[in-house]
Amino acid sequence: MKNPFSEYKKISQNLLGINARNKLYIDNKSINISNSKIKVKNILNLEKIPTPETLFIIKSLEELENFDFSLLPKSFVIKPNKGLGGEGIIIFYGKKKKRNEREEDAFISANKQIYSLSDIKSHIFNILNGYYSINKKNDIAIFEKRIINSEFLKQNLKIKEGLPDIRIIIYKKFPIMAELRIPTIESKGKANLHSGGIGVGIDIARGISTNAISKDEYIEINPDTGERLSGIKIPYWNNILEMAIKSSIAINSSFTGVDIALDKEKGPLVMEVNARPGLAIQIANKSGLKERLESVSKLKVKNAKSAINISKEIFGGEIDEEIEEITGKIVIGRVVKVKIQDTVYSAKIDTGAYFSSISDNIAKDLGFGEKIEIFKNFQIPETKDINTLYNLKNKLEKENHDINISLVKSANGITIRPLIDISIYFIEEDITIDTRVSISDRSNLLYDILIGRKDLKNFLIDITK
Amino acid sequence: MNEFTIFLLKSGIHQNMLFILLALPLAAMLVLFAKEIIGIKSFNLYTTSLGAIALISIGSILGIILFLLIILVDYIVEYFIKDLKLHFASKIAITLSTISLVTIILLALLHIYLGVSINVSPFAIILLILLTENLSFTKINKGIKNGNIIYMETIILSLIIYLILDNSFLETVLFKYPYISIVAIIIDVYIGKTTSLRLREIYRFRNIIKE
Repeated sequence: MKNPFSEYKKISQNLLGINARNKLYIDNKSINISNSKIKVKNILNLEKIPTPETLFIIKSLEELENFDFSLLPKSFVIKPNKGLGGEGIIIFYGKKKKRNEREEDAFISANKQIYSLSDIKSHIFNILNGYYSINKKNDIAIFEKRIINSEFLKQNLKIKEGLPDIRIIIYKKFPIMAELRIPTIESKGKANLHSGGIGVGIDIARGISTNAISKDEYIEINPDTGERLSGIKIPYWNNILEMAIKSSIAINSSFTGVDIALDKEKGPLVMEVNARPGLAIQIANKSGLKERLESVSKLKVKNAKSAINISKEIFGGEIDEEIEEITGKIVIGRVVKVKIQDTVYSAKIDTGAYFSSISDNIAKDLGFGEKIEIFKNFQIPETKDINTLYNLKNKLEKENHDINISLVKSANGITIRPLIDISIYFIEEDITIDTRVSISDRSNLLYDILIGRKDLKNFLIDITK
Repeated sequence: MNEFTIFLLKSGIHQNMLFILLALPLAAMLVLFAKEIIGIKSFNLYTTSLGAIALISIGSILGIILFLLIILVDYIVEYFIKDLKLHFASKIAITLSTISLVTIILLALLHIYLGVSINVSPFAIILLILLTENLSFTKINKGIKNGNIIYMETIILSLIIYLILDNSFLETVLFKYPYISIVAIIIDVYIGKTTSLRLREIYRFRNIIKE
């Protein structure tokens, strides 16, 4: 039997717990800055690092009393300056339509609650009195412009409300670990994991999402939307890493979690920095923070770029990357996720076939319905003789100039099938292949798409995957 | 009995007082251990130990009933005033007032149906205020679910400390070896230095540990 105590010691060297985080890594010099959103914003803006636009600041009850609420835009966010874990943040999406002139202005929040102006005042009153503040002392309320989700995240996550963000943990200039945080209905539009948000690990090297967690348990799909959570490639990945490093340098913190959101127009924006980043990021990345922190603790780098390169090298997707380096090929499993035009499919890898093939349903969706109809009208004899089929193929191609036909070997012998030109995007591998595929009736088969040898030249197949 | 203990008792310190003062370092060490090594979340040491002392003064059964009453009433009040979006100060005041009134009814019912008459000590009242305020504050600051978890764990911790402090066996041991209390302080130093994973974190990270 294994010695439980030495096991425990081993685990403690690998995973970062609250004790080790608080005693070994929290940067006490910069904690006063990180705790105050206003201070962080001022410093980052001096360094030209973009942050969400501040609309108004309310510092005292007097200012609240004199505040002209008619200045507020339709959508905005209220935040406590020294809030903790997203508590006290309310996202307002729009104004409620008035039924008559005398009715008070009211706004609709992310979880569809209606806040009248006096409700909003009451919330600000609570913020000013320090109920959300990290040190329970009087606080400041911030009005911020609401960030509009980038098209990319909208399309890939399909979430309706709330603002997903990307958390990067930086230690001594190195990006250590990253996580995509997705708000849920339960989290009321906030991306914080402890309020019920989903965390998805991100491979530092490629910026692609890996394992998703909800309340520390692994999940495959987003229960709110039914969308798969792994394999999402984060746009602006290198920019995001660089921005996170620059933010940590700007506030002079050795250990920090930088939260970056993607705005539709402005691109990546630093939302906040955390001196005590949550530890669940380790579960989402299936990897220990302590081990990673230790491995860079003695390294020194000149600039953000070289830090990113080193981090990518040592923390990036492990085994696969190694093989890629040796062979220059990317390792894929037996089933891959591909995107044709705007739809995502699961495709089976079949080295027995030369051409890739897609089902006639997909071909119809892609606009090849006409060609399929023409092909169906051909009289194809019930024969397995290659010569007959080959002659038939040539004859048909001569008669119909815009149709390409190929002889295809399948489990049932040889047949002829129409060919079309499409481009297939391998999502996780981030590779697009322009190719010619055959159309076949795959209605009885599990996968609508089969990838053949012709399109697998740049890949190695790992049958255990 | 230890000579030092005899000396202290002879110099006029009441036996009960001496025991509690000697046991307090043990209780503090235990709270520290529960928080830092096991990973139990609780309110501050003050609230937790006051909970234990209140249990001694009003008895464990009534004490636990009061503890549970607070969280129940808080939940009900929260449900009814949720949509009013009140200032938190008034929310806490409303909860406390309701708890106070419900306690009166509870005491009356206990007297009528069980014939028990309880003289609730000031401790219990202070405890009511303290726990209500802490519960409300934690719920605002760390979310409702977390607030409730922390509250329940505080109660469990208070119960454990109560069981230690209200223990005649421990009294004999401490009077025989009063130096145990100093050992507790040394253990505090060790706990303060540890950077290992908490037991609760091992459970939390069990899915990665398996891999």
